[in-house]
Amino acid sequence: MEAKSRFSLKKLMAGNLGTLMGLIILVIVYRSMSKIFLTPTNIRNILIQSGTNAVIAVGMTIVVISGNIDISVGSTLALSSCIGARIMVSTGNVPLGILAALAAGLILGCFNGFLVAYLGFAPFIVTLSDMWLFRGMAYLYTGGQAVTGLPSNLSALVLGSLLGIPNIVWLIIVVYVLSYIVLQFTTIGRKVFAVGDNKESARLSGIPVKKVTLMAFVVSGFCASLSGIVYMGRLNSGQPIAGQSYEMYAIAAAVIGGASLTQGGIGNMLGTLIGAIFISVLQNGLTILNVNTYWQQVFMGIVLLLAVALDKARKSLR
Amino acid sequence: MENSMNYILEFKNITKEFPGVKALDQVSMRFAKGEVVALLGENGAGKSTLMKVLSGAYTRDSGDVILDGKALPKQYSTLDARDFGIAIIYQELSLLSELTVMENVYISHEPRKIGTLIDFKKMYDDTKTQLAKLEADQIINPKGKVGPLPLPQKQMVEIAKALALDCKVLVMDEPTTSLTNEEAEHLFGIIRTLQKAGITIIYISHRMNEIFEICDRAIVMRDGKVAGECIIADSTPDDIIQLMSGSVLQEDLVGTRTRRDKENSTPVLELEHVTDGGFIEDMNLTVYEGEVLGIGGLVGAKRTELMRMVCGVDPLVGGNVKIHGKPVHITNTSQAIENGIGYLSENRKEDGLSLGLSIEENTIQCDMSAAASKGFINWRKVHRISDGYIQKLKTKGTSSTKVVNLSGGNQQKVAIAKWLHAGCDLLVFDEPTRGIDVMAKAEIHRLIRNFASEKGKAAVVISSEANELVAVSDRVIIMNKGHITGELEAEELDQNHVMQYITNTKGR
Repeated sequence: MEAKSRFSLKKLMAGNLGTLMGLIILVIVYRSMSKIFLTPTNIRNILIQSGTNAVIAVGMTIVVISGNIDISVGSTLALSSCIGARIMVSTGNVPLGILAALAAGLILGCFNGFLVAYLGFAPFIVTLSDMWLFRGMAYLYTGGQAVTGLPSNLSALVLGSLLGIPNIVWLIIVVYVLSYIVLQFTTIGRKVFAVGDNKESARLSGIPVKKVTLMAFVVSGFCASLSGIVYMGRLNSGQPIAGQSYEMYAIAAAVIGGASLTQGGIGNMLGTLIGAIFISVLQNGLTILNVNTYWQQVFMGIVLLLAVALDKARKSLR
Repeated sequence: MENSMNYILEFKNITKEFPGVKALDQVSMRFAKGEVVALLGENGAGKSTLMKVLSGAYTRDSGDVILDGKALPKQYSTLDARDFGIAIIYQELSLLSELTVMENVYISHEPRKIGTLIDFKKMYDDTKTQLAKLEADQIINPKGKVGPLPLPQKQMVEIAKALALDCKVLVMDEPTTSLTNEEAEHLFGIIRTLQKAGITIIYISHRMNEIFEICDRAIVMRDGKVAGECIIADSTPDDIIQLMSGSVLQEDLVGTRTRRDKENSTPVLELEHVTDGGFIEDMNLTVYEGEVLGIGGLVGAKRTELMRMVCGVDPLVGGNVKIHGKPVHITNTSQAIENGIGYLSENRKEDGLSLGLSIEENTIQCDMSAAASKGFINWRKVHRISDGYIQKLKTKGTSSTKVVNLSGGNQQKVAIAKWLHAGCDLLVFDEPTRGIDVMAKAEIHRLIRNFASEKGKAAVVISSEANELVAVSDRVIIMNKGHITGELEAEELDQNHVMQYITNTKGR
C-alpha cells in the first residue's frame, strides 16, 4: 500500500512542478502588491470561486485525456440546473432536485458521447452544436426567465461549511480524490489514457474504445451538472444564462495543468486542480488590484498561451 | 554498343548515410533513353532511398546525378526535380482528390494568361492532349474531380501529369499492386507507348512475369549497393532471384523443423471459405499446434487484410473461423483476445503501441485483469509483470520509460511483450522485424518460435522478406492478390525457393 502511494505521489509532483511554481510566483507577486490578498477571507473566497470551474474541469480533463473535447459543458450546466431548480420549486424537495439535475447532466453527456463514439462525429462539432442546442433548450424550458423561489436549504447546503471548511471545498476535495483514484488506479481509468494516446492501438489491444469515449463524455456531463448545483446554490436560483464561456475556463485549467488538446493520453487531476486554482487566483488578484475586466481577459489569454508554450517546450525536450 | 548508347540518366558513386546506416554505398548505374529498367531489391536494399535522392526528397551525401548530360546540383527540391523532367509515381498516388483532373495534371505549372490568371481553357485543351497520348481522353474528363475515379484511371492522371512536365525519366513504384491482370496489361501498353516516345522508365517491381514482359534490363540492389544487373532477353527469373538473395546473412533457425503430419496434428486455427468481399474470395487455411506458419507475398497480396479480418480488427465478410476446433464468431478485437487470438500490427507507430505511455502500461494493455482485482489496478503487480518481460525480452529501459523514447527494436519488443501477456494461443506477427537491426531480429525470431512451441499454441508470421520467412517458419504459404499460390513444407524451405514463389515464377 505504501509503495503504491509513494510511487504516484513522486510522479505527480514531478509532473506538476512547473504549474505549481507558476501558482506560487503569482501568489508572491500579488502578496507584494496587496495586503488583503493573503487574508483567510480572501483565500476562502478564491477557493469558493474556483469551485464551479474546478468541478467542470474534472470532466473536461477526462474528456481531453481521452483525446476529445467538450465545449458544451457551460450549456449542460445551465440546462441541468434549470431542470433541477424547477423541480425543487415545484416539489420543495432539494435532494430530488439535485438528483434530477445530475440525471440531466448524465443524459446530456450520454448524448454527446453517443454522437462522438458511436456515430463518429467530430467531438468539437458535436459539442459546439450541443452548446447551442442545450442552451436553447434551457431558455425554452424556463421561458428565458430565472427560476427563483428555491428552498432555502439548497443555499445553506452549498454555502455552508463542515468542520470549518466550506462545503464547496469539501466537494472539490471529494471530486478530485475520486477522479484521481479512478484515473490512476482503475482499469477503466488507464483505458482512458490508452484510448487518448492511440485510439487504433487501443482498439487492436481489445480496449472498447467506443465505450470508453462514451464514458468520458458522460462524466463530463455529470461534472457540469454537479457544478450547476453549486451555481444554483450560490445564486439561489436556476439561470438559463448560467455557465457561459465556462467551457473555456475548464479547458484552460486542464491545459495549464498539463493536458494537451493536440495529443490525448496526457493530463492529471492534480495539475488540473492547480490550473483551476491558478485561474481563480489570477482573476481574484486582478480584481483586488482594480485591473479592469478588459485587461483581465488579456491576461487570461497570455497565461494560456504561456501554458501552451511551456507544454511545447517540455515536449521538444523529451 | 555501350558507347553508341545515349544515356539519359546516370548515378555516379551515390552515397547516402543515415544515423547508423549506410543506406546507399557508392551506387552507380545508368539508364539509356527509351529504356525500361526494372529495379529490384528487398526491403532496405536502398532502392527507395535512391529514388528519393533522384526525386529531391533526400539530399545525397556524395556522388553525382547526371541527367541528359548535365550534372544536377547537389541539392534540389522535389519541385526542381519535376522541372528537370523527373517524375515519380508512388504506390500511394499523390493526387489531390478534391481537385479536377486538369488541375492535378498542371498543379504548380498552371498555364497563365494576362500575367497571373490561370488559363483554364488552355489547361483543359492541354490535359486533353496529354490524355489522348494515353488513349484516355475519351474516358477521363479533364474537368471531373479526381477523387471518384477508379485507381487505373488515377494512374493515367499521374502519367498525364508526368507527360505534361515533358518528363525524361519516369519512375513507377509497384504500379500493378492494386490492378487486375487486365488493367495491368493496359498499363503495359501505355508503358510501351511512352518508351517509343523516348521516355526512360524505371520500373520498381518484384513480379517476375511483369519484368520479363516489359523490361529491357534489370538492376538488383542489396544492402545499399548494386548487386548486379542483367539484360532480360538473356536471363531467366532465377538469375535475378540469385542476385537478390546473394550471400545474404543467413539466420539460424531456432530449434529444428520437421514436416508436420497434418492428419495427426491438432489445428489451432482453421479458416474455411473466408472472404473479404474483394480479392480474398475463398480462403481455406489451417494452422497447427506448435508451428510457426510464415505467410509470404508481395505488396497487395492481402496477407495483412486476411489476418486483420480473422483477428477481429476488420469485419469478416464471410466464411468460418474455428479456434481449437470450435467455431467462433468474432466481431471485435476484445472478443478475439477472449477467444485466444491476437494480431500484432505491422505499424508499431500507427496502431501497434501507445507511444506516449510507459512500457508497463503498454505491456498490460491487452489484459489488465492479471494486474487488477475488481477493476482496481495493483501497480506493484504491473511492475512485476512488466519487469518480467523486460528481462525475458532483454528490452532496454525500465517499466516507467515512455515507449516513444525507445529505439525501433525495443519498441517492437514492448509490442511483443504486450501480446505475450495477452495470453493468446495464436498470435499473428505482421512484419515483426520491420526496421529492426539484425541482432534484435534474431532475438525476436527466437521469441516467436519459443511462443509457438508452448503447449497448445501456434504463430503466424507475415513477412515480405524471404530471409525472415526461412529463419522463423516451419511451413510457409505464399499469397498473391488474396489467393494462396504456393505452400512450402519444412524440407522445401530455402531462400531461393521462397523467393521464386513470391515473385510468381513458381506456383499456381
